[in-house]
Amino acid sequence: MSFSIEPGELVGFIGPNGAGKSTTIKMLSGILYPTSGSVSVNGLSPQRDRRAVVQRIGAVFGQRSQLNWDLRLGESFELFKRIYRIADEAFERSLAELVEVLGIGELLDTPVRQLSLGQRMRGELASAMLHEPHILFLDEPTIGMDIEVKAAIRAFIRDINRRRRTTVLLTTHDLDDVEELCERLIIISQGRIIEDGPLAELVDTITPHRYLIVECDAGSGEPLAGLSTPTRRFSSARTMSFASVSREVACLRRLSSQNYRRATRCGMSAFRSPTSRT
Amino acid sequence: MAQIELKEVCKTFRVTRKQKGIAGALRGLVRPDRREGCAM
Repeated sequence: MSFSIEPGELVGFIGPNGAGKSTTIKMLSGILYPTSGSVSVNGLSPQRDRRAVVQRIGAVFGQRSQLNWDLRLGESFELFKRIYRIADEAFERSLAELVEVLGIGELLDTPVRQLSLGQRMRGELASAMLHEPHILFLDEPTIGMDIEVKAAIRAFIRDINRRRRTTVLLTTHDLDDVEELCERLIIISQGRIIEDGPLAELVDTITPHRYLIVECDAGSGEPLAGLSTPTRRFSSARTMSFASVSREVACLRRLSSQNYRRATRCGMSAFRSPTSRT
Repeated sequence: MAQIELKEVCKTFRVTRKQKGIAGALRGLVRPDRREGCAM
C-alpha cells in the first residue's frame, strides 16, 4: 500500500471490516511495525523515532479508551499534561479552548466511568488534542454516537482542520462523516487501495447515475419530462434516474418552482447534493 | 513535502492454529501449526 498526505489535508480512509484501516493507523502511530516498505510521519519513522513522532500526533480509537476510568476527566487531562510534558501556560490555553469547543466544562469533575459514550468520546478528542498535535488519526470516532454527538464531533474535526491546519486521517464506516468532512477519499479493500482521489470525482466515477423519488400533486410533475427517465411511477410518487449530476441539479431547480411535496434521493443518501430537498 | 507517507507497505501476521483435544495441545507445543495472514 502506498499513499501520501499533504499538511492540512482532511482525508477519509474507508473500507470494509478487515480491510487494513486500523492496521494502517497503528503503523502510522508506531504501534505496529510494517513487514516491509517504509512509513514516514513528519519526515520521521514512527517506529524508530517513536517519542518524537507521538509528540506531534494525536490518535483516537473509537473502540478503545485512552482515558483512565478511575480518574475524573479533568484529572485524566492532567495525566496527559505530564505524559506529553506540556507547559502550564500552553496546557491552560489548550484546555480552555477544547472545553469551549467540545462543551465539556461540566464534565471535568465527573469520573470517566460515569460518562456516556458521547461524553467520553468528546473527552477522548480533547485528550488527543491537548498537546496541539500537527496530525490527528481518528479511527471510527463517531461509532455508536447519536446524531447530536456526531454533529458536535464533526464540527470539532472541521474546526481544528480549518483553524489549526491539523492534518486529519479519518477512518469511518459512516458515509455522512465522509461527505461532510473529507475533501479526499482513500478506499481500501483487502489491504489494497482501490480508489484515491477527491470525493466529488469519486462519487461521479463510482455512481454516475442518480435516483430521485419525487412526490408531486397530480399533473405537476409533467414539466420535468425530458430531464429524466421515469423508471417507476405510483399514484403521486415517481422515481427518476439521471445520467449526470447537472441534469439532476437542473431537475431540482425546476422542482423548486413546482408544487411538489417531497423529493428524496435514494440509493445515494450518503452523498447528498447541497441542492437536494427532502 | 508530504506529511504522511507510506511506500509499498506490507503487513503480515503469524497466526498459530490450535488443534483439538489434549493431544492437539501437546502437538501444538512441539510443532505449532503457524500460518501467515496478510493484513496489507
